[in-house]
Amino acid sequence: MRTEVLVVGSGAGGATTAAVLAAAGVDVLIVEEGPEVAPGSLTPFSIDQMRQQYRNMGELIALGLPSVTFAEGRCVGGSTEVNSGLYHRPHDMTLERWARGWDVKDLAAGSLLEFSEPIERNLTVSTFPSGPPPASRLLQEGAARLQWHAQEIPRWFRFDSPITGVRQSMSLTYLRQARRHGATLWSDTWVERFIVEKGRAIAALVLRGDGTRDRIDFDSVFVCGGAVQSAALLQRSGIRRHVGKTLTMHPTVKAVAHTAAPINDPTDVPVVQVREFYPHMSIGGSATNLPLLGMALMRTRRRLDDLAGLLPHMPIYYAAIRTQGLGRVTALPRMRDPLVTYRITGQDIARLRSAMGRLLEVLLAADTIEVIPSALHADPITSAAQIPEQVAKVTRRTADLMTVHVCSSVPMGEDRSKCAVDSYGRSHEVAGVLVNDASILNDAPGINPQGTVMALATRNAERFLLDHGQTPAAREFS
Amino acid sequence: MTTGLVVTGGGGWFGRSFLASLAETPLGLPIDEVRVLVHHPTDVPLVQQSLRAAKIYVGDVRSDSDVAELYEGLDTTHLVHSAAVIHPGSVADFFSINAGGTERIVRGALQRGLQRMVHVSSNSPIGTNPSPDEVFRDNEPYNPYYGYGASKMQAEVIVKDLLTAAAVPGTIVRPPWFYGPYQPERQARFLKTVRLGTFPLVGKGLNRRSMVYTEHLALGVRLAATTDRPGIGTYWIADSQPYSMLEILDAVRAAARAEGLEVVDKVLRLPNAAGVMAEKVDAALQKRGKYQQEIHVAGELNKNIACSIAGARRDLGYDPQISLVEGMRRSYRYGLENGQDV
Repeated sequence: MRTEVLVVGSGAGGATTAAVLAAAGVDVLIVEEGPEVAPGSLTPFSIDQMRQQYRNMGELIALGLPSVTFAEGRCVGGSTEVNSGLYHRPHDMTLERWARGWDVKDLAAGSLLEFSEPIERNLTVSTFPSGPPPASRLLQEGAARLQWHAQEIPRWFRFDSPITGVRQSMSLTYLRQARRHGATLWSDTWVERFIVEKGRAIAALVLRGDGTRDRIDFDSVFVCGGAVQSAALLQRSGIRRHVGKTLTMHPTVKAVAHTAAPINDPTDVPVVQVREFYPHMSIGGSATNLPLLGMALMRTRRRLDDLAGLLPHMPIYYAAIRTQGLGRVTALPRMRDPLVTYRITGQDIARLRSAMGRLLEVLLAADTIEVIPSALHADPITSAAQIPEQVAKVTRRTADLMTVHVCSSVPMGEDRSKCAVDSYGRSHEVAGVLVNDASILNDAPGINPQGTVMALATRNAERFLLDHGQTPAAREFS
Repeated sequence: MTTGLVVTGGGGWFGRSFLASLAETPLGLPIDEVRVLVHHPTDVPLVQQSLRAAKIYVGDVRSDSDVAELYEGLDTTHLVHSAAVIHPGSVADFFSINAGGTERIVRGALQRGLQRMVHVSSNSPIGTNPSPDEVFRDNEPYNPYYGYGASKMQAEVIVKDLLTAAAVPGTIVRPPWFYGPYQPERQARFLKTVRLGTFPLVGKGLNRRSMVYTEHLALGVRLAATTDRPGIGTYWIADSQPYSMLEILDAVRAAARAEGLEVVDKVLRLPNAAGVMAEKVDAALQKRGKYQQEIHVAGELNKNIACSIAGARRDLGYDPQISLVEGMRRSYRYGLENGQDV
């Protein structure tokens, strides 16, 4: 098998890369480790979805003290098929920090806007036509009473009614666009490693779903498997300098609000976020179905009677932080999955406690009957004076941390003392290899990263075309 | 009908500064008399210096009869409550004075037609920031810093509960680290040790601290006492911006130099571990009901305690104007004029 460009991974980075290249006439093959699942065919956050569209049933672990569990999609479209669909434009302050700290070229404030705007139109990024639903409003009300800034975060949703919409995931948008322009997609295909000859990557060795092995020869390869898998693949291919050593996450702590009114929608996620404390922490809503509610309350001292009856009254909310500590991805010999570790520092623990305190504060300020921190031996509380005792239960040994944002394992920039790829994702070490997903973000952006990933992916794929004497097509889908 | 402005803690650092501001410009409220509660008879002449017209009551906020006497004869009351202990003999004093005393003072005022209250709280109920680039907002979860913080948290809760139940408006102001005239001896020691290069700088000095010049605090309390905002608001009252510890030490030295004092341009650097150790010892002592001022202060030196005054600016029109160096210069001058070894 031979292709001009191989794209490894079909999530936000891979799908965008493939669409940009294919639309310009490049011969593109996309390989995706996970299966192809028809969008909308599985109940969101159900066991079936966990089994089919998430890696390892949605339960991956970054080992540390405490460990952080994280979830990522493993299907055609990647995490965009399963995530909350919340969209943020890349933040100027973040871009400036990256440009300055890692010597990233052409990344001034506002420099990605020309890429973001067509992405937003292609994904129909929009807010609820008739205002956010009740579980979102709860957070909005609490924040308003505390005079904290909160806002509805738009989603890549095409709303077909005031309250329902269809997630415009990659399989419905950029992958469809890529295929329309001739790109081929192989699902259930895992890339074991690249063959590198004379400093240039020339082929990939892959394992197909039916157990057969294959070799795909290419001129160039875009690695877009997500921050963990991309780093592991590069390491398995012998590309190791500054790869996998600077992983970042947004670890979250959670709390359950108990409300008199039935406000929880088990199939959706609240869309309001408290942005008052950006970039250090943010507060938002989590998916809350019966198993997730059970897990959130399991280690607390709240009685678990009649959870099914309480489900409509008990949405879960989170507070996410940016950490001082970093993680590592280490490919292990003969193992398919890499070892992921994460170092939570003393400052991070302090920030997690602060985040838990603020989460409890905002939920108590809203119309709640009680608030239950999701922490070992935590008690339900009804007043602000009870917060300190519960926050003290978030310790290095007991903290129950999870995240869905994993970034920065292959940082971009011209500073070769700490960057694995250049300002446009091109490997500093091996020719023909580009990385174009959340791996190249220099640190945790403090927002849902998909908007930033897609803007950078567009920018870098277009740069690749220009480097090869080709002209990028219009960014907006026709 | 007699309307009184009752000021507790009148002999203290803030109290005297506030009373001096009243002497200069009255609040503009229909007040017949200003009653000032002080703890020690030795405070009486000090208060008289600040506000000659004050009616001074020597008493203890832990005493029902002292508090009853303070309010006797008043029909309506405006209250500024700042009486508290920050460096006590034992941890139990924190709670009996700061929390129990607050409850007694507020209940007494409510029986005497309380119109509005300003409660002078502290940064300590809110604790410390996780990192140097974060600042506290007005509405933050409680995270009390040891015994003092817990007692001041209890006091805030008491104030909110009692005022809410009585539908009386009030303001809780949270000042951080003070500086300015009327400083106690411990601050004079601070000024001297910084000037002579013997003040311990724990860690790199990049941690940020909000500070409040006492005239700024007096201004904030005046605004809080005269606002017509309903309900109970909580505001940080501090200088415009937090400072790094290095900036604070630089400003103190610059102020001393400008006042013509000898300055030794060095600091006594201690590793961060020294601060961590001091905090641990402080925690262990306080657990046993004991309090040791130097150890407590040393444990706090490498902390970030930074706040935003955006709320006070927005709602109260608070606008602090004095620079850190100018405020420190006035502190040195006050010390020199009042026989302190600064």
